[in-house]
Amino acid sequence: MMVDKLCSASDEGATTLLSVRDDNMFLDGEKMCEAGIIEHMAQSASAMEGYKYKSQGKEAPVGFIGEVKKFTLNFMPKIGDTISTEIRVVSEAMGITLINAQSSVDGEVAATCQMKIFIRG
Amino acid sequence: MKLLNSYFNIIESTVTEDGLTGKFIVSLNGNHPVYEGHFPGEPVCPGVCSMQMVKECAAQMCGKKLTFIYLKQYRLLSVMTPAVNGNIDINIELTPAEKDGASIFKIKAAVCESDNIEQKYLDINGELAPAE
Repeated sequence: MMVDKLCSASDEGATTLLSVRDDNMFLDGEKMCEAGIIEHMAQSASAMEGYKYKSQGKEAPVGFIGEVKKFTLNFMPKIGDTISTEIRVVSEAMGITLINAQSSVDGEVAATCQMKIFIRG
Repeated sequence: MKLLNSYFNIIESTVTEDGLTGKFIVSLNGNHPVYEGHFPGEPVCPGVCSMQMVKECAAQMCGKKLTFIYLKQYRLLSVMTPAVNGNIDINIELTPAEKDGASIFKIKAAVCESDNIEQKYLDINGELAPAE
């Protein structure tokens, strides 16, 4: 799992946390590679969707990445860092959720992107 | 994270002399542990693993470890699974470029089913920098 904690979730978005531990599968040496950050962003959006489904008494759906646009990597978080991610929902229709994601470590933006998540309930 | 020889294997590769155009035929390992969670009983190739696989093939072309510093677009065109798909073709075009005074590669890559160009799985348009 690439999300430790869903801190807040609403129709507009969510915030999540992930601690980079030494057993994370996305490590490149001491650092989390860009694929790990993108997976963390996607799982943050999935956690948000899962929370919404569960609060309506429905099974959590599976979600997968349909598109990533304008992903910009500033730096790779390292072991011991806590990644804080903000998800903003841009639109949601027909099982496709369009989000903006921003991941930070200690207030410094590590990466941003736009993502389309395909949700299958 | 390294996926070569665990998540996927390169069966055949053809790279032009300048190292900028490459075609890789790869096989996917359906027993990789990533499928235990993605998804239980229904293996689907995670998009980030496809990105990583493309990146590792590009690294073979230029002989350097690489990092995606920018993705203009990663697009899933159809769902890829290790169970039903045969071999996969990965076609990569690299273009040397400069960004903020550093040497990078622009990359365009397409992933499709081998011998079936109609079955496209994804394409990637982005920028790779040599890893630190």
